[in-house]
Amino acid sequence: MTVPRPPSLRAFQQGLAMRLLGRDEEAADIGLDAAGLAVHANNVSASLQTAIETAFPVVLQLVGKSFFAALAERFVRDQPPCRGWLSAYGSEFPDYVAAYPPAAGLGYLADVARIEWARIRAANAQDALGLDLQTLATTPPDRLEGLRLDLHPAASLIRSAFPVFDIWQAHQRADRKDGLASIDLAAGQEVLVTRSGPSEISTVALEAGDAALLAAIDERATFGDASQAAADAEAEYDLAAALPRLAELRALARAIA
Amino acid sequence: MSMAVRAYGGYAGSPHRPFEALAGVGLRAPHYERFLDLDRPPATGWLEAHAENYFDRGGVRHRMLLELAERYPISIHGVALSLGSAEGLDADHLDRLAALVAEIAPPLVSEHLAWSRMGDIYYNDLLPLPLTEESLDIVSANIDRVQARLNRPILVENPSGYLPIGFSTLEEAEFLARLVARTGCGLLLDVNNLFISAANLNVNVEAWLAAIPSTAIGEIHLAGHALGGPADRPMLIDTHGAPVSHGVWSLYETVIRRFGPRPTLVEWDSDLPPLETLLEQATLAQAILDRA
Repeated sequence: MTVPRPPSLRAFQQGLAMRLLGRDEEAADIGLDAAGLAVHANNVSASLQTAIETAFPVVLQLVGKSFFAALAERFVRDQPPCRGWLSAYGSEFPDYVAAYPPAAGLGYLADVARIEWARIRAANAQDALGLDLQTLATTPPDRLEGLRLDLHPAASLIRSAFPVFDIWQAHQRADRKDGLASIDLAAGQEVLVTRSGPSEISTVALEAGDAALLAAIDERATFGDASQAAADAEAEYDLAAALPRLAELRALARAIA
Repeated sequence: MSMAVRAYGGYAGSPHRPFEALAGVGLRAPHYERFLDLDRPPATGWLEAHAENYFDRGGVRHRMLLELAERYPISIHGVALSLGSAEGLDADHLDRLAALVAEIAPPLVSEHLAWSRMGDIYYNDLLPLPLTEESLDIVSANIDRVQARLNRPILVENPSGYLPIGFSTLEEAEFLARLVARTGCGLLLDVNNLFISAANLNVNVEAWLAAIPSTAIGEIHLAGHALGGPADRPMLIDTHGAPVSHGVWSLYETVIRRFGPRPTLVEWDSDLPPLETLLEQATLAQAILDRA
């Protein structure tokens, strides 16, 4: 009788990996102890689901624990992390929520997830200087028109057909759901998330003019075109007042004049 | 044993800045504010940060860690480098670890005898290795690469065992001893993990302690565990979610009496209690260190 040759380390790791993340139905039996394997399979799934749950607390509140658990379990299985640091894990979750059939009736859910992911991005983005108003002020008008600004690397703009800022805001205190009943689900909102100070993350609802300005800048429009877009979106839009306000929030990156 | 085994001081931080055998606690996000409180800074010998939590080069957490590093010694504990990967290490991961270590200049840097990555997937668990000559070659090569990149020795931690691997040919302590001899790495003795492996995999603790090169142990971990597993195969599970058990305290006292004092960390991750509870556990460890 011949003793079976043990697998190489690589083959062992491939075999064990196939038993994780709920893929074990498709996997070949590699003769490993089921109870021991179950501990590791549970560690993997539970820890990754916890990571998603921690990153998206308002989505969790909106759909409840069991709905979220089923959603997170499927997400973790379909889109497991590829890097060993989890601060980047969850960037695909809002799109996954948008395409998740059981959530089809909750149109606002994916945009609420986008706000939550934007806040994580804002907290983890590399430190970078914000827009320097002095630079803008000293740029000659003819060059200002053609200048291309950019959003700050920590900033995100979420343009939603739903009142997602109000929904997100109403869930910031677990004990009180302020004003949820009075939210008009038919009214869209545009939300800006920034790192406004060394440790401060700001989440604000934007007026139409600021939103149009930032959206145009985000699409690499010139400063002249972005200003025009803002004026078109909001009658009597005051650009001179808007720029210090947006700079204060650190919505815009440093301009290269 | 090999002559390459270095003295304890060699792992206890840089020779210029010896790291005392004090008790410390794991740094967790809900406790940041407390440690940054200038008026009432919590008393602890040191803190340990999970490396991967600070891999974004910038941002809020990174800034807090730099501030804390000015007030407390902070050791860097990696949980995802995957030293046991047959595929080798992720270069980006190692680069980020090296950048963090260069920035913090921690007294200790540690990782695990485990793997976490296969192909394009990171599994976020410390998965077990068959302890064979092939694995020894692979883990040694990976450790060599880390130590060359960081330009310092690292400590390698014994993981908690759940999965018996029949074709292993080496005992864990023997495997670790040979890693020390081949790579010049040190060891992080997780007493809770050893206790768990003894319960789940029948690891003989006395034989383990006898075979381990004790001078290479540069740090000790303590944590809580829970009873789990199926009814017909109960197991101890390393939850990091409870006070250190009586059995683990007793084993820790044995280790300290036998090997001498070592920097000792109390870890707590799930169901994180108020900081006071962690600090009380660290005080208990300090009392044992002081008696040694």
